[in-house]
Amino acid sequence: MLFTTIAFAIFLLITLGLYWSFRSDAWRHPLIFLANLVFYGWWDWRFVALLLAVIGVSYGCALGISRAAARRSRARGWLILACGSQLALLAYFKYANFFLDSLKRIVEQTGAHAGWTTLHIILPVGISFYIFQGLSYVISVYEQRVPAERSLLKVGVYLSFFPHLVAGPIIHATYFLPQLASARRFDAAQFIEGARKFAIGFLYKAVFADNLAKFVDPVFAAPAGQSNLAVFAGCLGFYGQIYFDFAGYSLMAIGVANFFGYLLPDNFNHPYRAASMIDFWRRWHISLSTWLRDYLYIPLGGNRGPRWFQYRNLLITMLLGGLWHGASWNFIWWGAIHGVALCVNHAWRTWRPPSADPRPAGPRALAVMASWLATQAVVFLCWIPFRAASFADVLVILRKLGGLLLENPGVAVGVPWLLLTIPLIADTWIVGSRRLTDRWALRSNFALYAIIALALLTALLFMHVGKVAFIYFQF
Amino acid sequence: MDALVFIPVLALVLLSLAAAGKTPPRLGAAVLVWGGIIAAAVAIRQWVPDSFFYPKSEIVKRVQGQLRVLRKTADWEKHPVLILEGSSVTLFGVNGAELAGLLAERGLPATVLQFAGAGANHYERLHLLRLFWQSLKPGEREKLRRTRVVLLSEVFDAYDRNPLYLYAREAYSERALVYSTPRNAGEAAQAYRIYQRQPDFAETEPVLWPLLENSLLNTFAVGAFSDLRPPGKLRGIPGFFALTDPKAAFDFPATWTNFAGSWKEPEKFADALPLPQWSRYFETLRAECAPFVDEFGFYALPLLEPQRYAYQRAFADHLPPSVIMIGPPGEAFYSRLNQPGDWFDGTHPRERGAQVFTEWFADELAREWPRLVRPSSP
Repeated sequence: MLFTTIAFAIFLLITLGLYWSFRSDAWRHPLIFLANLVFYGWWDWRFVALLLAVIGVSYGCALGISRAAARRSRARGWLILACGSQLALLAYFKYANFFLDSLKRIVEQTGAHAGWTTLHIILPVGISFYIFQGLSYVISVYEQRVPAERSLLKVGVYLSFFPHLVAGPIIHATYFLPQLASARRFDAAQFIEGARKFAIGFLYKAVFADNLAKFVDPVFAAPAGQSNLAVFAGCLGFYGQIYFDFAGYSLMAIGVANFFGYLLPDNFNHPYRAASMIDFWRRWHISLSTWLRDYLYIPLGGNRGPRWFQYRNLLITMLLGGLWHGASWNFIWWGAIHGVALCVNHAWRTWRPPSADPRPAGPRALAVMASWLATQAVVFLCWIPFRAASFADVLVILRKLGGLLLENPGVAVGVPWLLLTIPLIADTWIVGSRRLTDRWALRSNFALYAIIALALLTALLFMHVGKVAFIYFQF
Repeated sequence: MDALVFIPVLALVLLSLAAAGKTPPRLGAAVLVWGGIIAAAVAIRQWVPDSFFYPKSEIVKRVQGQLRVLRKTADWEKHPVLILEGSSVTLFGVNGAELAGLLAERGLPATVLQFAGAGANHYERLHLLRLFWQSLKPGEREKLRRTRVVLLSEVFDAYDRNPLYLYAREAYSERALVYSTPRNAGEAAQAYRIYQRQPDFAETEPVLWPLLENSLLNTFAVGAFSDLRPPGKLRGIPGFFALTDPKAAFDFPATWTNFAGSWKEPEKFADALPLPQWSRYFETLRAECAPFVDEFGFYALPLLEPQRYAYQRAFADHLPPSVIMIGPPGEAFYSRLNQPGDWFDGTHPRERGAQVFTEWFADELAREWPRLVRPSSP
């Protein structure tokens, strides 16, 4: 069920109406859990069993860890069982074909015959998100950051909470389980803030991302047949599309959670304002980067030890982060380049700490501008392997982008330049500027209500009609 | 030029600036404001013509094309106006402009308006007619009321049987969206429910859910400006389109032989007529067109499919003699259409076939002329 469909609007209205009509969480939790299953099952009922399995394993193993707390080896056994079984599920559904296919190619390149064929495995929507949350829960219990939840229902609600179920944000157990423990009370301010966030997310996704997709998809479908300028426009379009798509989904998820009285953490903070790769990863898909930091980078050693250890840890984290996005070499390339860029950024900071910059304000501003350009150029180029259908297409696109600098850029007919640029500029430099939004804030309840409604109606008028799935559903 | 992108961008900026006032926000007040704005938006949607929201849609362009035909015809109010409403069979089969010319040659001046679309089911055509009435200027509307107007509806089994024929295939297209107004959708849904109760109900795809979704989308003109371009000048498209190329894989000899064989042993149309779902639709058509239309009639164009022909035949036989029915043509006429180049497939003619159809139609109309031009009954 997509957030931008009528089916979801009806589902939300019914669930919300029933939810607040109950006086206590004793009824609300079962209702939410049921709603979660309907939401997930809407896509394919068969995979509800998979979701229930993840909930059951997380719940059971967390209890096992809790009961074996005094005996760490037994607790570790429960942890290994929880992590191993969930990662096995993820590996089977998401990566089995990739590894079999890659192995087959290697075998065939040696001249031998690989007798197996690719399996027909359907990728369950959102599997990476809820398995990462399941892992987060059991690891948090193991590390005694959160007590094991005795109520299976509450664990079920946490792991399957429909606003964030299929595309995040990935929520830590320490953030959400305490909310489930305390009774929800209707808060009009939170509800209206949720509506504001939902409206922003709706504009991002339905108007900007989906309309960009109409232009971007044909360019990436056959880059060889496009002019250099059209390829550049397509890449710029995807640079905007992926941000508006994913940030839009996250904002809608946060808004919907607010309707039910829950808070979800911010997942994006205007990442295209970032003037360094380190800053970018503090602003982009924050819940994933936090998860990777807490459950991968730090356990690997983090910043401890010699500097090359830190770089190694960063590279491993980003490679696996790339692989998390999908079973494809393109995602691994994407993660690897980001990892290298982060290492370079860290090395640069060690060499030239920002606080030690002795230059006057003018040159410093120029340096920040150059840094911003360099960062965004890396991000822009990294989106190419992320989006391209094959590595061969990546090379074609890079050649065409190179052609922009070296030769006539060619003619790009029908490029929606305003759509490609204006929303990004407005979002990055106006919406993303706390100074501007604070200074020009319209502090009026009536204006707030009216703007939310008018913005939603505007989004409806300008939205792309037709089904465009959220990009991150596939992850 | 995607200049309209500034509007959603402005909405985004305003959303980022909007903040609660000094007093805490209240849901009751918010719901009141939201309800008021939504009601205003729905009212505006009803008041503003479809041509503003969907200027590039086929339906609007077809209406524009026929408005142009009407306005270009000198003194049209002095002669009968013949309105043909149909599907691709009419779109590719009858050249309205040519038909008017042939009638004029016979000394029977008339304005021919042609509201037809490929795959256009009855409710899409009904909406075409509605849009046409709505698009007329007040003076034109008044003149039309005073002019003799005859509405002739195409008889074709698939559309008469399934009120939402082909809807499922195009459920989420702009085309389906434009005619899925809440009113039209409600009427279509009722006729469709009748069809669902028939023993020969044969739709396999969900229809009522997309219909409901589309009618909600239509209420808020969802996606009307998704190309982010300002609405340009309205353009019209003609009511007739000639098929020049043959259809791949169409086996004319086999189709012809099969059809010719059916003259000896004609197919029988098994169901009782009129089909109840069609009757429901026709009641709506009559009620909505009554202010403008003086006479309702039907026509059945030539085709090469025995079962469809059997329906046309049964439909014509079932009508009371007082109702105008053009066609279906008899065996003798088909000898004029026995060349492969005449046909695109078993139901649509190519350009030369359409010429023959149009001439035949003119002859039939000429024969029915006294009934066509008789004064309206009160």
